[in-house]
Amino acid sequence: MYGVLVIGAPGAGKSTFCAGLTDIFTQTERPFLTINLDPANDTMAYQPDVNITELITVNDVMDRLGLGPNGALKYCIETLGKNSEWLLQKIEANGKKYIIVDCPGQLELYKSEGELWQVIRHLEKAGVRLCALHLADSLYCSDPSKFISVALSTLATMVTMEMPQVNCLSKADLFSADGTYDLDFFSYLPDVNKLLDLLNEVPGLEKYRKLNESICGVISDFDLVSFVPLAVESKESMMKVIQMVDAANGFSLTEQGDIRELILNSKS
Amino acid sequence: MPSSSTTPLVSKDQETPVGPNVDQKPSVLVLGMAGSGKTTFVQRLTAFLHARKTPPYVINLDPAVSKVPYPVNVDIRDTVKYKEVMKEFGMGPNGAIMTCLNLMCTRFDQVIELINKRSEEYSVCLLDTPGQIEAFTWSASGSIITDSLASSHPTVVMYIVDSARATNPTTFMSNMLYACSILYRTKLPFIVVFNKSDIVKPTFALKWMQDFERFDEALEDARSSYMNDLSRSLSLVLDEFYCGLKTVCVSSATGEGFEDVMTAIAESVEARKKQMDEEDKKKREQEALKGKAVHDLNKKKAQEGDDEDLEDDLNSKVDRIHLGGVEEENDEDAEIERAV
Repeated sequence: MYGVLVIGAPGAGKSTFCAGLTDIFTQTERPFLTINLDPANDTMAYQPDVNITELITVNDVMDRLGLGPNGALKYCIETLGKNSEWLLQKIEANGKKYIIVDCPGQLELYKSEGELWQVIRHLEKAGVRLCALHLADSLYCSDPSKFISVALSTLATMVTMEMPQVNCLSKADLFSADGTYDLDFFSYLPDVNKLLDLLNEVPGLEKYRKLNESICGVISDFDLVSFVPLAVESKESMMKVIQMVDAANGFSLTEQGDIRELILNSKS
Repeated sequence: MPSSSTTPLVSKDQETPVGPNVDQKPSVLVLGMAGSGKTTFVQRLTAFLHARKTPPYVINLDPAVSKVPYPVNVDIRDTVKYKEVMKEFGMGPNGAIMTCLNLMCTRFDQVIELINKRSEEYSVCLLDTPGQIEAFTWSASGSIITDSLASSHPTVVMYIVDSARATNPTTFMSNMLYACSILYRTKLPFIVVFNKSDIVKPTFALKWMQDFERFDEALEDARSSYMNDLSRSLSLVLDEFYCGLKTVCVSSATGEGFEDVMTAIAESVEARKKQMDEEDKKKREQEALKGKAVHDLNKKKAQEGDDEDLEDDLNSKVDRIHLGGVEEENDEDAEIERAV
């Protein structure tokens, strides 16, 4: 069983991406199973096959227990934690399907040893091979310091998730060409020298030269933290991301014939 | 959106820069994860300051809080009603919080005016932010609010950490990375507050921050082998972050540590003031060097908007020589790494 966990800040475009993914999988005839784990997600562009709202909804909790939105969200995730068997059963019943999991955006839920973390570990132990796909809004990368900010929060999630992770900058089609650098920069991250220069010029960050250097060092040393621009409307962009995810969770090793055809088809 | 709003804006007809009023009382943006204790912190700090007869000006920016346990001067809930927004716009809880913030943002200039007007009457301005940290740090309205504050008067970010929940080294590292991320986003003086010291003494955190080896050991014991190298590199990154980072250990429940809070705020504001003065000096020196001897090629940066053509020409030639080399080198390096 293979799948992708779509994570990222609220508003980054997770649900939109999941909807786009379902379109592509329908076109390429890859059987899939969509799971929505965000209890606060009401209006989605796709119909999830498995939904946490079957278990519990945020509004119910807020009404019945008088909790605020954060408390309600935490309560819902705790409920999910107690019912991870239910989730696993649903997945196992659809064994051959590729799993797409739409996750909640709140950072507080992604604590090491937290409920969500334990659900994921539970699934992994049962043999579900997952890859995390982290979406960050590319509009937040309009200048060097914001880009570093995005990179750092991505790193924070990578450290917590402890699983293969592909990092994407979503809404790449909206990114304007008159930023300090264009979008290609992200795919060719080795050029950290330029980034470092730009960072050292930012007012407010003067005393952090050494920090700038070490962060840029990590970015250049570890390909793990390179970002892939993603535009959900662009088939080419989506295919690239799907390839990376398949390579990360091992799916590409089982279905190699498909991938080649898909690439050829996508070129037409 | 101005990204460099903390730089003093140089007005065209004046010599002196027009920028944040550095003599005004500072504003403190209280940020932190949901449940870290921001509201309780603001409550305790307010009580502390009232007891010392140096009251603060308090602003609540959390639209979804049911009860505000401190005397508040400006409350976002007066401007926008959270539950009504949910109904009227048919939004879920997150969407409603963002919308409330957005609506508040359109009026925020009025809030700034109020803060400035009342500056003489209070010692510090405190801003309590929404429970979910992303609503503030990853939203346009959060940025606008932060930038407007920073460009008006000295602003400091206080990042509250739940010490009781940070004992796991992976969580701690993740939390600190996130704090660093906020630093890069706001570019403001940063203070980390270890809250709930009555439950767990945050000395473990201070030890980890001072001694990289100890943290590394704790990390190795606690986590899986998946991210060994990356975790170690990240700990080194964080090591740099910790240098010169102000930390305070408090308990909002018992009131312990709040004297240090005020000291930390005052020190951060002083340090930033000094830094900005130095920047001003540098800028003024550079401006004064405009139009000086053209053959003085020891000038490091190219002057902008030169009057004399020759100087312009020469400087641009100097630029071309310098940048051409470095950029070509970078391209070559990038090529090599791409090929690998």
